[in-house]
Amino acid sequence: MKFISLILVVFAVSACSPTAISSPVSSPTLTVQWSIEYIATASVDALKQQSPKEIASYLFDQWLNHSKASEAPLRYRLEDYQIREVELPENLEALAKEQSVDFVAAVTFSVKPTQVPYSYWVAGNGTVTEEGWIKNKFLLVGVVEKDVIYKLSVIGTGP
Amino acid sequence: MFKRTRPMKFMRSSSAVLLTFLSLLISVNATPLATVEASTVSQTKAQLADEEKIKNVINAYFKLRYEGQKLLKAQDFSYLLADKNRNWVQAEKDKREIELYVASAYNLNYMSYQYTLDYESIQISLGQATVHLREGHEVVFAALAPEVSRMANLEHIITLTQTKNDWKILDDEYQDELTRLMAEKNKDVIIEQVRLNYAADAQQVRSSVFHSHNLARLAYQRALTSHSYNRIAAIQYADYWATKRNVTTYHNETNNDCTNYVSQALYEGTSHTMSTPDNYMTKWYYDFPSHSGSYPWVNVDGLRSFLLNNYSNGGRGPKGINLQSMCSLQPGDVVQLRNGSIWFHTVIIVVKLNSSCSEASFLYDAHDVDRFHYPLSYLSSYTKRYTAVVGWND
Repeated sequence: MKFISLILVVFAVSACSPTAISSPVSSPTLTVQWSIEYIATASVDALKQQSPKEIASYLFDQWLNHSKASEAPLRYRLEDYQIREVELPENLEALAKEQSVDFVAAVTFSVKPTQVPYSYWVAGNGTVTEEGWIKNKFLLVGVVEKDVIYKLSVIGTGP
Repeated sequence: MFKRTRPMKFMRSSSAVLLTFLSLLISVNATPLATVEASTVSQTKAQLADEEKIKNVINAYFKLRYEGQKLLKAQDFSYLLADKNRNWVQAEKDKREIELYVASAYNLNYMSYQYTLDYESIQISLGQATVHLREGHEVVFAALAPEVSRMANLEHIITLTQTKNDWKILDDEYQDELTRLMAEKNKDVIIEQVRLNYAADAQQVRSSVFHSHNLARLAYQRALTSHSYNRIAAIQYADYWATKRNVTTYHNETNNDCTNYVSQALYEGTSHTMSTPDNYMTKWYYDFPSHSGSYPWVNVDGLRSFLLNNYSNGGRGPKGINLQSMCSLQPGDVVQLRNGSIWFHTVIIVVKLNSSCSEASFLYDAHDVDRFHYPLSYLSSYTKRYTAVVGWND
Protein backbone atom coordinates (compact mmCIF):
# COMPACT_ATOMS: atom_id res chain seq x y z
CA MET A 1 0.00 0.00 0.00
CA LYS A 2 1.20 3.46 -0.76
CA PHE A 3 1.43 5.63 2.29
CA ILE A 4 2.55 9.16 1.54
CA SER A 5 2.38 10.16 5.14
CA LEU A 6 1.01 8.65 8.26
CA ILE A 7 0.33 10.81 11.23
CA LEU A 8 -1.54 9.19 13.99
CA VAL A 9 -3.55 11.48 16.18
CA VAL A 10 -5.01 9.26 18.82
CA PHE A 11 -8.21 10.33 20.42
CA ALA A 12 -11.43 8.65 21.23
CA VAL A 13 -13.66 7.94 18.32
CA SER A 14 -17.23 8.59 19.21
CA ALA A 15 -18.74 7.92 15.84
CA CYS A 16 -20.53 4.81 16.90
CA SER A 17 -24.06 5.00 18.17
CA PRO A 18 -25.10 3.57 21.52
CA THR A 19 -26.15 0.42 19.72
CA ALA A 20 -22.83 -0.04 18.05
CA ILE A 21 -20.36 -2.40 19.60
CA SER A 22 -17.50 -0.69 21.37
CA SER A 23 -14.01 -0.76 19.98
CA PRO A 24 -11.43 -2.41 22.19
CA VAL A 25 -9.20 0.59 22.00
CA SER A 26 -9.65 3.99 20.50
CA SER A 27 -9.39 4.08 16.75
CA PRO A 28 -6.92 6.58 15.48
CA THR A 29 -7.82 9.34 13.10
CA LEU A 30 -5.55 8.92 10.16
CA THR A 31 -4.13 11.55 7.94
CA VAL A 32 -3.12 9.55 4.94
CA GLN A 33 -3.71 9.83 1.27
CA TRP A 34 -7.22 8.63 0.79
CA SER A 35 -7.69 5.42 -1.14
CA ILE A 36 -10.49 2.89 -1.41
CA GLU A 37 -7.70 0.35 -1.26
CA TYR A 38 -6.68 1.66 2.16
CA ILE A 39 -5.63 -1.10 4.52
CA ALA A 40 -6.39 -0.66 8.20
CA THR A 41 -3.57 -1.84 10.46
CA ALA A 42 -2.73 -2.11 14.11
CA SER A 43 0.20 -3.42 16.05
CA VAL A 44 -0.23 -6.85 17.52
CA ASP A 45 1.20 -5.61 20.74
CA ALA A 46 -1.45 -2.92 21.13
CA LEU A 47 -4.24 -5.44 20.72
CA LYS A 48 -2.72 -8.41 22.50
CA GLN A 49 -5.48 -8.49 25.11
CA GLN A 50 -8.25 -8.39 22.52
CA SER A 51 -10.32 -11.20 21.09
CA PRO A 52 -10.42 -11.85 17.33
CA LYS A 53 -13.84 -10.24 17.17
CA GLU A 54 -12.55 -7.13 18.91
CA ILE A 55 -9.53 -6.98 16.66
CA ALA A 56 -11.74 -7.17 13.58
CA SER A 57 -14.00 -4.52 15.01
CA TYR A 58 -11.10 -2.22 15.76
CA LEU A 59 -9.66 -2.54 12.28
CA PHE A 60 -13.01 -2.17 10.57
CA ASP A 61 -13.73 0.94 12.59
CA GLN A 62 -10.43 2.32 11.40
CA TRP A 63 -11.28 1.40 7.82
CA LEU A 64 -14.63 3.19 7.94
CA ASN A 65 -13.14 6.16 9.70
CA HIS A 66 -10.71 6.54 6.83
CA SER A 67 -13.60 7.54 4.60
CA LYS A 68 -14.56 10.41 6.90
CA ALA A 69 -11.47 12.24 5.76
CA SER A 70 -12.13 15.43 3.88
CA GLU A 71 -9.74 14.20 1.21
CA ALA A 72 -12.07 11.36 0.37
CA PRO A 73 -13.88 11.89 -2.94
CA LEU A 74 -17.51 12.85 -2.49
CA ARG A 75 -18.56 9.51 -3.88
CA TYR A 76 -16.83 7.71 -1.03
CA ARG A 77 -17.00 10.22 1.79
CA LEU A 78 -18.81 9.43 5.02
CA GLU A 79 -20.33 11.78 7.53
CA ASP A 80 -20.89 9.07 10.07
CA TYR A 81 -21.06 5.35 10.58
CA GLN A 82 -22.14 2.75 13.10
CA ILE A 83 -20.79 -0.75 13.51
CA ARG A 84 -23.69 -2.86 14.61
CA GLU A 85 -22.29 -6.33 14.90
CA VAL A 86 -19.17 -8.34 14.22
CA GLU A 87 -19.48 -12.08 13.93
CA LEU A 88 -16.99 -14.86 13.30
CA PRO A 89 -19.06 -17.41 11.36
CA GLU A 90 -17.74 -20.93 11.52
CA ASN A 91 -18.78 -21.64 7.96
CA LEU A 92 -16.22 -19.17 6.59
CA GLU A 93 -13.09 -21.05 7.56
CA ALA A 94 -12.63 -22.27 4.01
CA LEU A 95 -12.94 -18.70 2.78
CA ALA A 96 -10.29 -17.60 5.26
CA LYS A 97 -7.94 -20.21 3.91
CA GLU A 98 -8.69 -19.24 0.33
CA GLN A 99 -8.17 -15.54 1.07
CA SER A 100 -4.99 -16.22 3.04
CA VAL A 101 -6.22 -14.54 6.19
CA ASP A 102 -6.21 -15.80 9.74
CA PHE A 103 -9.95 -15.47 10.16
CA VAL A 104 -12.97 -13.96 8.45
CA ALA A 105 -15.43 -11.70 10.20
CA ALA A 106 -18.92 -10.76 9.05
CA VAL A 107 -19.62 -7.14 9.85
CA THR A 108 -23.02 -5.49 9.97
CA PHE A 109 -22.89 -1.74 9.93
CA SER A 110 -24.59 1.45 8.82
CA VAL A 111 -23.13 4.47 7.11
CA LYS A 112 -24.22 8.02 6.45
CA PRO A 113 -22.60 9.12 3.22
CA THR A 114 -22.16 12.77 2.42
CA GLN A 115 -24.61 12.24 -0.40
CA VAL A 116 -26.75 9.21 -1.12
CA PRO A 117 -27.27 9.28 -4.89
CA TYR A 118 -24.37 7.62 -6.64
CA SER A 119 -22.51 7.04 -3.40
CA TYR A 120 -20.18 4.09 -3.33
CA TRP A 121 -21.88 3.00 -0.13
CA VAL A 122 -25.20 2.36 -1.86
CA ALA A 123 -23.59 -0.44 -3.84
CA GLY A 124 -23.75 -3.97 -2.57
CA ASN A 125 -26.28 -4.10 0.20
CA GLY A 126 -28.03 -1.98 2.77
CA THR A 127 -31.26 -0.06 3.02
CA VAL A 128 -31.45 3.65 2.32
CA THR A 129 -33.39 5.66 4.91
CA GLU A 130 -35.01 9.05 4.58
CA GLU A 131 -32.46 10.45 7.00
CA GLY A 132 -29.68 9.68 4.56
CA TRP A 133 -28.35 6.61 6.30
CA ILE A 134 -27.69 3.31 4.62
CA LYS A 135 -28.64 0.82 7.28
CA ASN A 136 -27.76 -2.82 7.65
CA LYS A 137 -24.83 -3.04 5.34
CA PHE A 138 -22.92 -6.29 5.42
CA LEU A 139 -19.33 -7.05 4.52
CA LEU A 140 -16.96 -9.93 4.95
CA VAL A 141 -13.52 -8.92 6.09
CA GLY A 142 -10.39 -10.85 6.87
CA VAL A 143 -7.69 -10.25 9.43
CA VAL A 144 -4.14 -11.38 8.96
CA GLU A 145 -1.22 -11.06 11.34
CA LYS A 146 2.09 -10.41 9.67
CA ASP A 147 5.31 -8.91 11.01
CA VAL A 148 3.69 -7.96 14.32
CA ILE A 149 0.99 -6.04 12.49
CA TYR A 150 -2.67 -6.90 12.11
CA LYS A 151 -4.01 -6.02 8.71
CA LEU A 152 -7.60 -5.79 7.54
CA SER A 153 -8.54 -7.29 4.20
CA VAL A 154 -11.96 -6.28 2.93
CA ILE A 155 -13.18 -9.36 1.10
CA GLY A 156 -16.60 -8.52 -0.27
CA THR A 157 -20.32 -8.83 0.18
CA GLY A 158 -20.50 -12.58 -0.12
CA PRO A 159 -18.48 -15.74 0.08
CA MET B 1 -58.79 0.60 -15.06
CA PHE B 2 -58.34 -2.00 -17.75
CA LYS B 3 -59.01 -0.61 -21.22
CA ARG B 4 -60.13 -3.51 -23.28
CA THR B 5 -59.40 -3.75 -26.96
CA ARG B 6 -61.17 -5.48 -29.78
CA PRO B 7 -59.57 -8.60 -31.17
CA MET B 8 -58.23 -8.66 -34.71
CA LYS B 9 -60.40 -10.42 -37.26
CA PHE B 10 -57.71 -12.56 -38.72
CA MET B 11 -54.83 -14.45 -37.24
CA ARG B 12 -51.44 -14.19 -38.75
CA SER B 13 -50.73 -16.95 -41.17
CA SER B 14 -47.55 -18.01 -39.42
CA SER B 15 -49.44 -19.09 -36.39
CA ALA B 16 -52.69 -20.07 -38.01
CA VAL B 17 -52.26 -23.81 -37.80
CA LEU B 18 -51.24 -23.88 -34.20
CA LEU B 19 -53.84 -21.33 -33.23
CA THR B 20 -56.58 -23.14 -35.02
CA PHE B 21 -55.73 -26.30 -33.19
CA LEU B 22 -55.60 -24.54 -29.88
CA SER B 23 -58.78 -22.64 -30.57
CA LEU B 24 -60.53 -25.92 -31.19
CA LEU B 25 -59.03 -27.32 -28.06
CA ILE B 26 -60.23 -24.35 -26.13
CA SER B 27 -63.65 -23.71 -27.58
CA VAL B 28 -65.06 -27.16 -28.21
CA ASN B 29 -67.03 -28.55 -25.32
CA ALA B 30 -67.05 -25.23 -23.58
CA THR B 31 -69.65 -26.04 -21.01
CA PRO B 32 -70.35 -24.81 -17.53
CA LEU B 33 -69.65 -27.22 -14.77
CA ALA B 34 -72.31 -28.98 -12.87
CA THR B 35 -70.69 -27.93 -9.67
CA VAL B 36 -71.02 -24.34 -10.64
CA GLU B 37 -74.63 -24.70 -11.61
CA ALA B 38 -75.34 -25.61 -8.06
CA SER B 39 -74.39 -22.16 -7.01
CA THR B 40 -76.90 -20.54 -9.33
CA VAL B 41 -79.59 -22.90 -8.16
CA SER B 42 -78.79 -21.79 -4.72
CA GLN B 43 -79.73 -18.29 -5.71
CA THR B 44 -83.33 -19.33 -5.87
CA LYS B 45 -83.35 -20.01 -2.22
CA ALA B 46 -85.13 -17.02 -0.95
CA GLN B 47 -83.67 -17.31 2.47
CA LEU B 48 -80.26 -16.40 1.24
CA ALA B 49 -79.42 -12.83 1.90
CA ASP B 50 -78.57 -10.71 -1.11
CA GLU B 51 -74.97 -10.65 -0.08
CA GLU B 52 -74.79 -14.39 -0.04
CA LYS B 53 -76.43 -14.57 -3.45
CA ILE B 54 -73.98 -12.06 -4.80
CA LYS B 55 -71.05 -13.98 -3.38
CA ASN B 56 -72.35 -17.17 -4.92
CA VAL B 57 -72.51 -15.57 -8.35
CA ILE B 58 -69.05 -14.12 -8.03
CA ASN B 59 -67.65 -17.36 -6.72
CA ALA B 60 -69.10 -19.20 -9.71
CA TYR B 61 -67.58 -16.63 -12.02
CA PHE B 62 -64.10 -17.19 -10.57
CA LYS B 63 -64.55 -20.93 -10.27
CA LEU B 64 -65.16 -21.17 -14.00
CA ARG B 65 -62.00 -19.28 -14.73
CA TYR B 66 -59.90 -21.54 -12.50
CA GLU B 67 -61.55 -24.72 -13.74
CA GLY B 68 -60.83 -23.62 -17.28
CA GLN B 69 -57.16 -23.34 -16.46
CA LYS B 70 -57.24 -26.74 -14.83
CA LEU B 71 -59.09 -28.51 -17.65
CA LEU B 72 -57.57 -26.47 -20.47
CA LYS B 73 -61.07 -25.82 -21.73
CA ALA B 74 -62.85 -22.51 -21.82
CA GLN B 75 -65.78 -22.47 -19.44
CA ASP B 76 -68.90 -20.63 -20.46
CA PHE B 77 -69.64 -17.96 -17.88
CA SER B 78 -72.23 -16.10 -19.92
CA TYR B 79 -75.14 -17.37 -17.87
CA LEU B 80 -73.77 -15.36 -14.96
CA LEU B 81 -73.88 -12.12 -16.92
CA ALA B 82 -76.52 -9.45 -17.22
CA ASP B 83 -75.51 -8.58 -20.77
CA LYS B 84 -73.34 -10.88 -22.87
CA ASN B 85 -72.73 -8.20 -25.47
CA ARG B 86 -70.83 -5.75 -23.35
CA ASN B 87 -67.30 -4.95 -24.45
CA TRP B 88 -65.71 -6.21 -21.28
CA VAL B 89 -67.25 -9.64 -21.80
CA GLN B 90 -65.48 -10.11 -25.10
CA ALA B 91 -62.27 -8.80 -23.56
CA GLU B 92 -62.57 -11.24 -20.68
CA LYS B 93 -63.16 -14.09 -23.11
CA ASP B 94 -60.12 -13.00 -25.10
CA LYS B 95 -58.08 -12.87 -21.96
CA ARG B 96 -59.09 -16.34 -20.91
CA GLU B 97 -58.33 -17.58 -24.39
CA ILE B 98 -54.83 -16.14 -24.20
CA GLU B 99 -54.34 -17.70 -20.78
CA LEU B 100 -55.38 -21.06 -22.14
CA TYR B 101 -53.10 -20.67 -25.14
CA VAL B 102 -50.16 -19.98 -22.86
CA ALA B 103 -51.11 -22.83 -20.59
CA SER B 104 -51.33 -25.19 -23.56
CA ALA B 105 -48.03 -24.15 -25.05
CA TYR B 106 -46.05 -24.09 -21.82
CA ASN B 107 -47.76 -26.86 -19.90
CA LEU B 108 -49.04 -24.35 -17.40
CA ASN B 109 -52.45 -25.75 -16.73
CA TYR B 110 -53.32 -25.98 -13.07
CA MET B 111 -52.80 -29.35 -11.48
CA SER B 112 -54.53 -27.95 -8.46
CA TYR B 113 -55.72 -24.59 -7.31
CA GLN B 114 -57.13 -22.83 -4.33
CA TYR B 115 -58.38 -19.30 -4.70
CA THR B 116 -59.51 -16.80 -2.13
CA LEU B 117 -61.86 -13.87 -2.54
CA ASP B 118 -61.36 -11.33 0.20
CA TYR B 119 -64.48 -9.15 0.21
CA GLU B 120 -63.74 -5.60 1.25
CA SER B 121 -67.19 -4.17 0.69
CA ILE B 122 -70.54 -5.00 -0.86
CA GLN B 123 -72.72 -2.00 -1.52
CA ILE B 124 -76.30 -2.68 -2.59
CA SER B 125 -78.62 0.07 -3.78
CA LEU B 126 -81.67 0.15 -6.04
CA GLY B 127 -81.15 -3.30 -7.48
CA GLN B 128 -77.47 -2.83 -8.18
CA ALA B 129 -74.46 -3.97 -6.21
CA THR B 130 -70.86 -2.85 -6.22
CA VAL B 131 -68.39 -5.31 -4.79
CA HIS B 132 -64.78 -4.59 -3.92
CA LEU B 133 -62.73 -7.72 -3.41
CA ARG B 134 -59.18 -8.95 -3.57
CA GLU B 135 -58.40 -12.17 -5.37
CA GLY B 136 -55.60 -14.44 -4.29
CA HIS B 137 -54.60 -17.95 -5.15
CA GLU B 138 -52.21 -20.82 -4.65
CA VAL B 139 -51.85 -22.92 -7.75
CA VAL B 140 -49.64 -25.75 -8.90
CA PHE B 141 -48.76 -25.42 -12.56
CA ALA B 142 -48.28 -28.75 -14.29
CA ALA B 143 -44.84 -27.80 -15.52
CA LEU B 144 -43.73 -26.52 -12.14
CA ALA B 145 -45.20 -29.24 -9.94
CA PRO B 146 -44.89 -29.64 -7.04
CA GLU B 147 -43.89 -26.01 -6.70
CA VAL B 148 -46.74 -23.88 -5.42
CA SER B 149 -47.15 -20.51 -7.09
CA ARG B 150 -48.97 -17.76 -5.31
CA MET B 151 -50.75 -14.57 -6.22
CA ALA B 152 -52.33 -12.12 -3.84
CA ASN B 153 -54.22 -8.85 -3.64
CA LEU B 154 -55.56 -8.60 -7.16
CA GLU B 155 -58.25 -5.99 -6.70
CA HIS B 156 -61.56 -6.39 -8.51
CA ILE B 157 -64.54 -4.06 -8.63
CA ILE B 158 -67.50 -6.11 -9.71
CA THR B 159 -70.90 -4.60 -10.39
CA LEU B 160 -74.05 -6.67 -10.47
CA THR B 161 -77.70 -6.10 -11.19
CA GLN B 162 -80.71 -7.82 -9.72
CA THR B 163 -83.06 -9.69 -12.00
CA LYS B 164 -86.02 -11.30 -10.30
CA ASN B 165 -84.39 -13.58 -7.75
CA ASP B 166 -80.97 -13.64 -9.34
CA TRP B 167 -77.99 -11.38 -9.39
CA LYS B 168 -76.12 -11.01 -12.67
CA ILE B 169 -72.70 -9.56 -13.30
CA LEU B 170 -72.61 -6.25 -15.15
CA ASP B 171 -68.89 -5.60 -15.09
CA ASP B 172 -65.59 -6.79 -13.65
CA GLU B 173 -62.87 -4.18 -13.45
CA TYR B 174 -59.39 -5.29 -12.52
CA GLN B 175 -55.84 -4.91 -13.69
CA ASP B 176 -53.17 -7.56 -13.93
CA GLU B 177 -50.20 -7.96 -16.21
CA LEU B 178 -52.31 -9.41 -19.01
CA THR B 179 -55.05 -6.79 -18.87
CA ARG B 180 -52.35 -4.14 -19.04
CA LEU B 181 -50.88 -5.83 -22.06
CA MET B 182 -54.30 -6.11 -23.67
CA ALA B 183 -54.75 -2.39 -23.25
CA GLU B 184 -51.96 -2.00 -25.76
CA LYS B 185 -52.27 -5.04 -27.99
CA ASN B 186 -55.12 -7.18 -29.16
CA LYS B 187 -55.51 -10.87 -28.58
CA ASP B 188 -54.02 -12.08 -31.83
CA VAL B 189 -50.94 -9.91 -31.54
CA ILE B 190 -50.37 -11.17 -28.03
CA ILE B 191 -50.81 -14.78 -29.04
CA GLU B 192 -48.40 -14.30 -31.89
CA GLN B 193 -45.87 -12.85 -29.43
CA VAL B 194 -46.37 -15.84 -27.16
CA ARG B 195 -45.72 -18.13 -30.11
CA LEU B 196 -42.52 -16.26 -30.98
CA ASN B 197 -41.36 -16.29 -27.38
CA TYR B 198 -42.02 -19.98 -27.17
CA ALA B 199 -40.02 -20.62 -30.33
CA ALA B 200 -37.14 -18.50 -29.04
CA ASP B 201 -37.14 -20.30 -25.72
CA ALA B 202 -37.20 -23.68 -27.34
CA GLN B 203 -34.26 -22.70 -29.51
CA GLN B 204 -32.27 -21.56 -26.50
CA VAL B 205 -32.98 -24.75 -24.64
CA ARG B 206 -31.72 -26.73 -27.59
CA SER B 207 -28.50 -24.77 -27.68
CA SER B 208 -25.39 -26.21 -26.13
CA VAL B 209 -25.28 -23.55 -23.46
CA PHE B 210 -28.21 -25.17 -21.75
CA HIS B 211 -28.37 -28.65 -20.40
CA SER B 212 -31.92 -28.49 -19.31
CA HIS B 213 -34.83 -29.99 -21.14
CA ASN B 214 -37.19 -28.39 -18.75
CA LEU B 215 -39.32 -25.56 -20.04
CA ALA B 216 -41.06 -25.36 -16.73
CA ARG B 217 -39.84 -21.98 -15.65
CA LEU B 218 -41.20 -20.39 -18.76
CA ALA B 219 -43.98 -19.17 -16.64
CA TYR B 220 -47.03 -17.22 -17.52
CA GLN B 221 -45.45 -13.78 -17.34
CA ARG B 222 -42.48 -14.85 -19.39
CA ALA B 223 -44.67 -16.14 -22.16
CA LEU B 224 -46.42 -12.83 -22.34
CA THR B 225 -43.44 -10.58 -22.26
CA SER B 226 -43.02 -8.26 -25.20
CA HIS B 227 -39.25 -8.79 -25.35
CA SER B 228 -37.46 -12.04 -24.68
CA TYR B 229 -34.55 -12.02 -22.27
CA ASN B 230 -31.40 -13.00 -24.13
CA ARG B 231 -29.99 -15.43 -21.62
CA ILE B 232 -27.06 -16.41 -23.74
CA ALA B 233 -25.86 -12.81 -23.98
CA ALA B 234 -26.23 -12.34 -20.23
CA ILE B 235 -24.38 -15.55 -19.46
CA GLN B 236 -21.57 -14.85 -21.89
CA TYR B 237 -21.03 -11.44 -20.32
CA ALA B 238 -21.14 -12.88 -16.81
CA ASP B 239 -18.64 -15.58 -17.69
CA TYR B 240 -16.26 -13.25 -19.46
CA TRP B 241 -16.14 -10.72 -16.63
CA ALA B 242 -16.52 -13.06 -13.67
CA THR B 243 -12.97 -12.64 -12.46
CA LYS B 244 -12.13 -9.26 -13.90
CA ARG B 245 -13.64 -5.79 -14.18
CA ASN B 246 -15.00 -4.04 -17.22
CA VAL B 247 -13.63 -0.73 -16.07
CA THR B 248 -13.58 0.86 -19.50
CA THR B 249 -17.37 0.82 -19.39
CA TYR B 250 -18.38 0.57 -15.76
CA HIS B 251 -17.16 1.78 -12.42
CA ASN B 252 -15.87 -0.96 -10.17
CA GLU B 253 -17.74 -0.83 -6.87
CA THR B 254 -14.74 -2.19 -4.99
CA ASN B 255 -15.70 -4.96 -2.55
CA ASN B 256 -19.38 -4.19 -3.23
CA ASP B 257 -19.60 -4.99 -6.91
CA CYS B 258 -21.94 -7.99 -6.74
CA THR B 259 -25.15 -6.35 -7.92
CA ASN B 260 -23.42 -3.89 -10.23
CA TYR B 261 -21.90 -6.87 -12.01
CA VAL B 262 -25.15 -8.80 -12.26
CA SER B 263 -26.90 -5.69 -13.60
CA GLN B 264 -24.27 -5.43 -16.32
CA ALA B 265 -25.01 -9.00 -17.34
CA LEU B 266 -28.76 -8.37 -17.31
CA TYR B 267 -28.17 -5.30 -19.45
CA GLU B 268 -26.61 -7.53 -22.08
CA GLY B 269 -29.69 -9.72 -21.93
CA THR B 270 -32.03 -6.80 -22.48
CA SER B 271 -30.34 -5.71 -25.71
CA HIS B 272 -28.87 -2.75 -23.83
CA THR B 273 -32.18 -1.42 -22.63
CA MET B 274 -32.22 0.38 -19.31
CA SER B 275 -34.63 2.71 -17.57
CA THR B 276 -34.94 6.36 -18.31
CA PRO B 277 -32.66 7.92 -15.67
CA ASP B 278 -35.27 10.01 -13.92
CA ASN B 279 -35.45 8.37 -10.50
CA TYR B 280 -32.30 7.21 -8.75
CA MET B 281 -34.09 5.09 -6.17
CA THR B 282 -36.61 3.27 -8.34
CA LYS B 283 -35.27 3.12 -11.90
CA TRP B 284 -32.68 0.65 -13.13
CA TYR B 285 -29.95 2.41 -15.08
CA TYR B 286 -26.26 3.12 -15.30
CA ASP B 287 -25.33 6.76 -15.69
CA PHE B 288 -22.37 6.59 -18.03
CA PRO B 289 -21.32 10.25 -17.75
CA SER B 290 -20.93 10.04 -13.98
CA HIS B 291 -19.96 6.36 -14.03
CA SER B 292 -22.54 5.41 -11.46
CA GLY B 293 -25.42 2.98 -11.27
CA SER B 294 -28.78 3.78 -9.75
CA TYR B 295 -29.90 2.15 -6.50
CA PRO B 296 -31.61 -0.79 -8.29
CA TRP B 297 -28.56 -1.20 -10.50
CA VAL B 298 -26.04 -1.58 -7.68
CA ASN B 299 -27.97 -2.67 -4.60
CA VAL B 300 -29.25 -6.12 -3.68
CA ASP B 301 -32.67 -5.00 -2.45
CA GLY B 302 -32.92 -2.35 -5.13
CA LEU B 303 -32.44 -4.82 -7.96
CA ARG B 304 -34.87 -7.33 -6.52
CA SER B 305 -37.54 -4.67 -6.00
CA PHE B 306 -37.11 -3.32 -9.51
CA LEU B 307 -37.35 -6.72 -11.16
CA LEU B 308 -40.47 -7.75 -9.29
CA ASN B 309 -42.23 -4.42 -9.70
CA ASN B 310 -41.39 -3.71 -13.29
CA TYR B 311 -44.88 -4.80 -14.32
CA SER B 312 -46.80 -2.10 -12.54
CA ASN B 313 -44.07 0.50 -12.93
CA GLY B 314 -43.62 -0.23 -16.60
CA GLY B 315 -40.06 1.01 -16.49
CA ARG B 316 -37.69 0.17 -19.30
CA GLY B 317 -35.45 -2.74 -18.44
CA PRO B 318 -35.73 -6.30 -17.19
CA LYS B 319 -38.63 -7.74 -15.27
CA GLY B 320 -38.73 -10.81 -13.11
CA ILE B 321 -40.84 -13.03 -10.96
CA ASN B 322 -40.15 -14.56 -7.61
CA LEU B 323 -39.60 -18.30 -7.64
CA GLN B 324 -40.61 -20.28 -4.61
CA SER B 325 -37.75 -22.70 -5.08
CA MET B 326 -34.64 -23.17 -7.16
CA CYS B 327 -36.21 -25.89 -9.27
CA SER B 328 -37.30 -23.50 -12.00
CA LEU B 329 -34.12 -21.48 -12.11
CA GLN B 330 -32.42 -21.17 -15.45
CA PRO B 331 -29.13 -19.67 -16.54
CA GLY B 332 -29.43 -15.91 -16.53
CA ASP B 333 -31.62 -15.83 -13.42
CA VAL B 334 -30.67 -14.11 -10.20
CA VAL B 335 -30.10 -15.55 -6.74
CA GLN B 336 -29.65 -13.50 -3.59
CA LEU B 337 -28.43 -14.51 -0.16
CA ARG B 338 -29.52 -13.60 3.33
CA ASN B 339 -27.63 -13.41 6.58
CA GLY B 340 -29.86 -12.82 9.57
CA SER B 341 -32.35 -10.25 8.35
CA ILE B 342 -30.08 -8.79 5.68
CA TRP B 343 -30.16 -9.72 2.01
CA PHE B 344 -26.53 -9.12 1.33
CA HIS B 345 -25.32 -10.71 -1.90
CA THR B 346 -26.34 -11.20 -5.53
CA VAL B 347 -25.13 -13.91 -7.90
CA ILE B 348 -26.19 -14.93 -11.39
CA ILE B 349 -26.90 -18.49 -12.47
CA VAL B 350 -24.89 -19.39 -15.57
CA VAL B 351 -25.19 -23.14 -16.00
CA LYS B 352 -27.76 -25.77 -15.19
CA LEU B 353 -25.97 -29.09 -15.29
CA ASN B 354 -28.95 -31.39 -15.33
CA SER B 355 -32.64 -31.45 -14.69
CA SER B 356 -32.44 -32.37 -11.04
CA CYS B 357 -33.56 -29.86 -8.48
CA SER B 358 -30.47 -29.64 -6.33
CA GLU B 359 -28.05 -26.84 -5.62
CA ALA B 360 -25.23 -28.88 -7.06
CA SER B 361 -26.98 -28.70 -10.43
CA PHE B 362 -26.64 -24.93 -10.71
CA LEU B 363 -23.42 -23.03 -11.30
CA TYR B 364 -23.15 -19.32 -10.63
CA ASP B 365 -20.83 -16.40 -11.31
CA ALA B 366 -20.33 -13.56 -8.86
CA HIS B 367 -18.23 -10.56 -7.93
CA ASP B 368 -16.75 -9.82 -4.52
CA VAL B 369 -15.81 -12.58 -3.92
CA ASP B 370 -15.26 -13.27 -7.61
CA ARG B 371 -16.62 -16.67 -8.61
CA PHE B 372 -16.73 -18.42 -11.95
CA HIS B 373 -18.93 -21.49 -12.36
CA TYR B 374 -19.24 -22.20 -8.66
CA PRO B 375 -21.93 -24.66 -7.61
CA LEU B 376 -24.85 -23.07 -5.82
CA SER B 377 -24.34 -25.73 -3.17
CA TYR B 378 -21.25 -23.76 -2.11
CA LEU B 379 -23.73 -21.27 -0.68
CA SER B 380 -25.91 -23.92 0.89
CA SER B 381 -25.64 -22.47 4.37
CA TYR B 382 -27.48 -19.33 3.36
CA THR B 383 -31.15 -18.61 2.91
CA LYS B 384 -31.79 -17.68 -0.70
CA ARG B 385 -34.38 -15.96 -2.80
CA TYR B 386 -34.72 -16.67 -6.50
CA THR B 387 -35.69 -14.21 -9.19
CA ALA B 388 -36.43 -15.50 -12.67
CA VAL B 389 -35.90 -12.90 -15.35
CA VAL B 390 -38.88 -13.20 -17.65
CA GLY B 391 -38.19 -10.54 -20.26
CA TRP B 392 -37.83 -6.83 -20.53
CA ASN B 393 -39.78 -3.68 -21.22
CA ASP B 394 -38.87 -1.13 -23.83
